Amino acid sequence: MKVRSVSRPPSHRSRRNWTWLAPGVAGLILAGSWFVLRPSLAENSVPTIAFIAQTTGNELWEAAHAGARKAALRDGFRIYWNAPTRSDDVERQIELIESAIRREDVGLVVAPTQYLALISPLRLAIARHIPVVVAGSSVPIPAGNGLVFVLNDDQVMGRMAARRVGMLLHGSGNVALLGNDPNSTGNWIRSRAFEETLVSEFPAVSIRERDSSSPTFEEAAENAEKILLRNSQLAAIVSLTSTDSEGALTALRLLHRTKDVYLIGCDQELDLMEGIREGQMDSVIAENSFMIGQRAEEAIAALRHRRSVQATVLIPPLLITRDNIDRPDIQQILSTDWRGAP
Amino acid sequence: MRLRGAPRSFGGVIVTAVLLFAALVGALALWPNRSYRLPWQDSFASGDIDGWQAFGGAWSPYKGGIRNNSDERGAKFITGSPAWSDYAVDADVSLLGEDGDAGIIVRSSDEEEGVDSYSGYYVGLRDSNNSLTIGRADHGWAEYQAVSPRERLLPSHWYHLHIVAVGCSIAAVASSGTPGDRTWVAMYEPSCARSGRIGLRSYSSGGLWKNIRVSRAGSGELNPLLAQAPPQPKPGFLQSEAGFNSLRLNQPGISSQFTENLHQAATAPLAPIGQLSGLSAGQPVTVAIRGSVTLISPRVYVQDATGGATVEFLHAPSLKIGDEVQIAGEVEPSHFSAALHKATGHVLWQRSPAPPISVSATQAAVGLYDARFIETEAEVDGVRDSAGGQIELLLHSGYQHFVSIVDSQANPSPLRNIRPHSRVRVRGVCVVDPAFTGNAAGFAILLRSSSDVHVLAGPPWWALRNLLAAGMALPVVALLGLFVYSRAEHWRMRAVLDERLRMAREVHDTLAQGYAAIAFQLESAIDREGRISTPESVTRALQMAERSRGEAHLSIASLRALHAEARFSELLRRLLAVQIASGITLAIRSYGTERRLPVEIESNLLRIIQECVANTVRHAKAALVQVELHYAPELLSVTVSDDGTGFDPDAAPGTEEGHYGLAGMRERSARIGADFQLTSAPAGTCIRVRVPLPRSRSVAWGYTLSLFRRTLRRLGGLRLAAFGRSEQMDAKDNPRFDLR
Repeated sequence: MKVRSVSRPPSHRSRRNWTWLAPGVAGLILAGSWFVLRPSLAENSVPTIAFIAQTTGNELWEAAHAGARKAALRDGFRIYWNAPTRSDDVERQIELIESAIRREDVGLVVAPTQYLALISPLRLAIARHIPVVVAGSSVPIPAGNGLVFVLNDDQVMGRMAARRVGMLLHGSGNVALLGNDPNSTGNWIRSRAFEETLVSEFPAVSIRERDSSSPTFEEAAENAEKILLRNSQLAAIVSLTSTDSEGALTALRLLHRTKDVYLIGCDQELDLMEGIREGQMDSVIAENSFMIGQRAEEAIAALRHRRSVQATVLIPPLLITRDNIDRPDIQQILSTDWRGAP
Repeated sequence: MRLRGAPRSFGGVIVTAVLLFAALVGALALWPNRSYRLPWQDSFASGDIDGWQAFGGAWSPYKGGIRNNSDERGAKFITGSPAWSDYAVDADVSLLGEDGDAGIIVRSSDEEEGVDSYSGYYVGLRDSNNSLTIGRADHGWAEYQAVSPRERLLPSHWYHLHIVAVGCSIAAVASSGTPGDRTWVAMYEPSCARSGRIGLRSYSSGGLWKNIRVSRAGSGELNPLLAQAPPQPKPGFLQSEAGFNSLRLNQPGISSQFTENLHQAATAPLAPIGQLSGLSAGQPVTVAIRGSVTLISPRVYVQDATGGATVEFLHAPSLKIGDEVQIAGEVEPSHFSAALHKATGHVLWQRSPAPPISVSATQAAVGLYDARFIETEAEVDGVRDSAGGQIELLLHSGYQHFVSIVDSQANPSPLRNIRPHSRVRVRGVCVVDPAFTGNAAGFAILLRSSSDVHVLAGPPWWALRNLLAAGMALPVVALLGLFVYSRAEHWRMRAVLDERLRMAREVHDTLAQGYAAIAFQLESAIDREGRISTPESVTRALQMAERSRGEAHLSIASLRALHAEARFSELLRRLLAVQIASGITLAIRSYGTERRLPVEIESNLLRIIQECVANTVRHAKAALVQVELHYAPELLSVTVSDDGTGFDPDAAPGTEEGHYGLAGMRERSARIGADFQLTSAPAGTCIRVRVPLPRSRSVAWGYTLSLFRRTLRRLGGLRLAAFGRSEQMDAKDNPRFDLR
């Protein structure tokens, strides 16, 4: 026979009062607070890449925005996008870079407005271990150590402009070269490649006028008008910036010389596309800014994940004429749909 | 005196404080701002623009409305509540110039300076392509619709905008005042921004706004607009041939005025502004200049790449900051710049304002930048009202003291909120004219609006206000520290008292009861004459004394063992080895992951097992005693069994007979919340004790869990069924951290 003896601990008398509501109320309050704070927390939870373009005044950068955003959506990043309203507002661009550094964004893409002034802020970002991509045109900082260049191939752009002029003029004629900008290395490379190609391949084409770039469309139109009034035998105008191209197109329209002076522009702008469609200008050699934006984001992602990345990437430009303007790859770089949806 | 229901532990205080803080944050976040209850209306008519925030531009009250007197692209003026969701906005809007747009932002958030640097929806009147436009901005612009009104949009003409945002549909109608001239636009975005503030925005043209009203809206307000304009479900981007053709229909083309201006600019002989100060002051000279307007009030300033000048017009044209103007007038040269009097001129075109030149205060003070748009950094000394009705920000940088002056009409109130000793960056026109400097400083800076002052950093830590705040906070911190110290001391004393209590209980359970029984036996052994009448009682007393000595020995041994850093099974092995008589085999086995037990549980289990083994050695005639420990995550099961003769627990002598063994084991089990089970048969006796353990594996976690449960219990007397324990078990599960 087994005998069993079991003892259990006594239980306390249960209590019941209104205070059982307290944790529930606290939970509701916390849930309410969470609901209010959720959007900013959710936004902050997505790593952000700051893309500081040259200016918001040119559609060229909308396609770069789209390219970067498309890649960012794929890679799980958010793109912060902003730029100065004027392409010569270096101070504002530096402010925006400093803001991105202060926010500790995970990457910084900058399309520099100036060759020298951005060295210090970009070096500061690199020193803070923020991956940096310089997009479009260069600055004098050696690549590597967290810095990558994704640049328009300005050498090719200059050569393409020269060959287009040579072809249109059948190897002989007077040309004006507008939009020279000593502050931009890319512009200088374009100009030099253009002139070298003309000398070597079309020696009978001479540059009769050279003019520096204008900060505004109106000033560019005024300068172009002066040049056209001075040179009645001008056969072509090559403009190295979109602002000067717009000014030249306006001057040609006003002086009714769109039929006898070819206009070849560099860098895209929607108003110039109107000129191409209407046959008032010959062509635009466009930066593939969509690809620049996309490759810039990919470089940031690679730097962030410590993958190997090419130190300098050169993106070839595209020639836009009346014949190819509706081609999909051309439309992609003319699009102002910055949302970057696939 | 303690308030009834108040938390009685520091942990409770912390948790209560956290909950109160969360409640406060939640309430503040959800509580609607009284100033922004709908319906809402602007108070521009009274000159009040408090509550509005400028992002670029030069905003000031003007004839009962608000004016942005700048050509800056994407200048914004924002107000309202971020919680506004479904609402309608009514406003009168006028463009100040050509080739730009002006309109209203709804559901705005995340604003900063920049063209499309906000998240929200914009409805604007655009005269560059003569359209009413609607679209989505999210640090980029997606235009959903642009519809041309029947009559061409004109600058300086009032249009009424009525915008309704309900759900994910935004619709608007613009009317010019001409009967029948109404234009509708609408859009629908599936994943839309559902709430946000309102804003005024202009692009290149500047603008005027008045009679801004915001009211609640629903489908009743939305549907009439949607009936006129079906909502566009996606944005249109017009770079394709079809898009180009549609765009061309709206394009006004180059105006004759533009052509005239261009020809005039290209052919007119112009003097560089920087050379005007070098002209002879002997006789009036009339010159023509061209430049960009940098300031309008209190004087008009114009600058080009070479310098700046102030202009007094005979008949002032309508000017905005950024306008490119061509002016002719009589030059009055001064030491550093020049003034043009009796000037006439006109606007060539509108431009985004030029960026400032960055200079130091000393550079500005030498006069080289007189009448030019500059920016500099300085420290704030204070703010004062000037006699001329202007607001002056007193600044210094190094040894250079100067003032920044803003017109009282140009939204000066943010300047009043800048704290002394803050570091700021100011942008404005540098002037050395004594009319502004009063010869108290080398120069002054005339601001376009208060948004030209950007605070870079607040006052340093040693600023008087911060020191006062620190002085006030210090006693609070000291009191808090004192409170923490007193609580810690209280916990330490409690721990000492708990230990004393435990030892007193131990003495009471063993020695005190033993002495009492011995005394009782000896009393009964001695008769009234003091002789020993019952020697058996003396014998029993001696036996009891021996047992008490043994009990004391075990207590001391277990107390010593508890201070050792050994596993429980090892402690058992050491303690029981001295109890086991020769001829008895002791086997101790442990199953599961062995871990250190709370002191209370460990000491009571030791004493229970000791008592079991002692009884076996004394009474059971066993050859084998087995102790098995089964560790589960939340439970320890201890089994002590022997192969002895067994006994009848019901017939076993109890405390009344002076036997405390079984009763003591049951009491100890109850003390630690354990089940005690005794099974005895002729083949042997088995005792099983199942004690709940804290789930924790670390001291910190044990502390946290204990604290949390205790706080919850005090807050609500909750039963912690969710934790799978009874209240009794929780009270006992981790007495090492019991803070009662």
